[in-house]
Amino acid sequence: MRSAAEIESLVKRHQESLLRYLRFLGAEEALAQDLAQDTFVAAIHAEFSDIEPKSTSAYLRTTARNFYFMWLRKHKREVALPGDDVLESAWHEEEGGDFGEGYQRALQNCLGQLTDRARLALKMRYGDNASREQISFATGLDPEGAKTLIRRAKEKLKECITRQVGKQDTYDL
Amino acid sequence: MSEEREQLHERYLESRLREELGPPTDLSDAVLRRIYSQPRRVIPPPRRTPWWRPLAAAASVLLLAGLAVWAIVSFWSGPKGRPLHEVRDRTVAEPTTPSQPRPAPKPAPKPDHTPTPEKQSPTPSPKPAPKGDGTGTQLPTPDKGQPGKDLPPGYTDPPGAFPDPEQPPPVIPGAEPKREDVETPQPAKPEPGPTEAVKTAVVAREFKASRKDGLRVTRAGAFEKRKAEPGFEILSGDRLQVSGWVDVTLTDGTLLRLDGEVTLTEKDAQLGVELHDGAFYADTARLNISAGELAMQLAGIAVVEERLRELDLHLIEGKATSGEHELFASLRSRLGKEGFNRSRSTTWADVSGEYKFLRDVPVRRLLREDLADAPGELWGGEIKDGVLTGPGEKDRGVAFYLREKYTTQQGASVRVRFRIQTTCDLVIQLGADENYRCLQKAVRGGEWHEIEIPLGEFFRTLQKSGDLPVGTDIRRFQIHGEDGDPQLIEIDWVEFNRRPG
Repeated sequence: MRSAAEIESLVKRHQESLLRYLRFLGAEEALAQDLAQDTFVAAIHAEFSDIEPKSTSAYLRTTARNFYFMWLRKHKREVALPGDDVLESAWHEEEGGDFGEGYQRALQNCLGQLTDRARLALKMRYGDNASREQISFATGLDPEGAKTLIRRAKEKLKECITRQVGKQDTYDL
Repeated sequence: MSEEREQLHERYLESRLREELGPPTDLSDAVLRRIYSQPRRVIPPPRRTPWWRPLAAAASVLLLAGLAVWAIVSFWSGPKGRPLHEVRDRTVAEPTTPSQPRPAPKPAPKPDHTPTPEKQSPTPSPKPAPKGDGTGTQLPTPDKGQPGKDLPPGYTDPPGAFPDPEQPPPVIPGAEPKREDVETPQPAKPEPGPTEAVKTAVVAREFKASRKDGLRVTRAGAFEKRKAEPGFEILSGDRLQVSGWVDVTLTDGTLLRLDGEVTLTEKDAQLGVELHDGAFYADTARLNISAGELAMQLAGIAVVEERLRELDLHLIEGKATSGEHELFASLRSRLGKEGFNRSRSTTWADVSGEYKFLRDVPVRRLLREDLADAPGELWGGEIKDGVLTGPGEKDRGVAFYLREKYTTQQGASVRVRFRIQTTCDLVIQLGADENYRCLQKAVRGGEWHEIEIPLGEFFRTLQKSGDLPVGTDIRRFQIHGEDGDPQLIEIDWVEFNRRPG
């Protein structure tokens, strides 16, 4: 068994990426956190070798994916997901070769280019889990207007990030 | 690109936005807790096999072997052997001797031979002896299965009815009085002196159980256990039995979380806990702790567990003293007759992972202002229907002076329930010799918020790098708008709490 310090270090190194991956698969925030914990506990009990970050990350992703599929089966949830190979290639495409650091920098830059109101709406939606009514109250828009504001903000972010990370604009409508 | 791929891309972006804009997530504590937490304690240490049993068994074997040898020798010695019926008259365990059915060939008496088996026969005496031994009496062994010690029907586990383990009457094999000890009500608590003297002192009025009927109390000298219900007063000398866990706030503000069996006492205005079994958590300014012959004094936060007549102590904060021996924060140790030993470092994470009853962190309330009336001078706003209300102008807002100063401690936090009219950034400020503040971003207007902020997150208003030091005397509480005008601020209550860690 690893020491507490080793476990803490392992969790801290991989938790963000693992949570991101579970959300990427479609897990809600609370479920993603539960499954990520299950994944770490299972991996630590399995005494896997943490040789280098890439293989550890792949190992944790596979375990997390299995836990997520088990959860879906147990709760009889139907979620349309592509095959494992498509998922993996889509994930690598987003993350790039630097564990998503380039994407993160681009996102931070692009958020700075949005209007204050759009940023507030995104912050309330994704940072505080605020309802559409709360967002509309805070932004002074009606609920539909708030929804549109968020959608447009995200589109702008996508375009901006694509430009910054140099990705092909293959997914735009 | 396919719709599937588009959906994945969208989810990736949303996931990134949550990461970027949401609160940071740290799973390490939860993972460590799950890995290291094993349901422990709760089960009392296994009952020990009385130490005299192996000796008694060995003595029986020796006796049987001796008898067998004697029988064989008698048999082979022919005319020298004693008649078997004479031997049988003198021994009790003889019937099991294999040589017994054999008729003695010659009845010729040989007296000098007979003492041999008789000398052996006293050897069983060690068997009952331990019961009268000082060591043996330490063990609570009322149910050893001795016929004379069986409880009569109708007596069902009245803890007060059994003598405390420290002073059971000496047990002499074959002596009858033992039965009386069990049956007679009055010797149930054979320490009437201190108990009687402080019997009426109330030691706690406030408690919270994790389960319904989770706390049962046996009053000193009584048999029946009472269910503790709201309004119940715990008196000095009351013995508390817990199912699940129970938080008890003593009259001096000490917080106890119990997972075991204890007696609460007050003597010379000093509150104390006598631990009989299990473990408890304490957050206290000063508390006497005892278990059997062991005693110590605690000032701080600790978890104490009774283990094989010694005390395991996990000291999170403060100091523990036992005679001349002292133990300081962040150490765990075992208290025996020789003082603290086997000390090694520990943290709250270690302790809370080890004890199931601490998974839900105990919180001690140190000071609360309900604002039913003005606690001290108001400095912005006025009190209406138990709520301090006022305009939210920048740099002033609403503020009040505490009824009494609060001196900050390690692990403390401030908790407040408030409402503002318009969404904006807010400053929560604590006034001491200098002001310390904490900024709350984009607080939503029009709804009540209940937030808790660790005091470690406050920083000096005039110099952001300066944290709020432990030991600062806080006198004033204030909320005002920072970026934007909240229009109206209402404060329902404010409290200062402390939790370990």
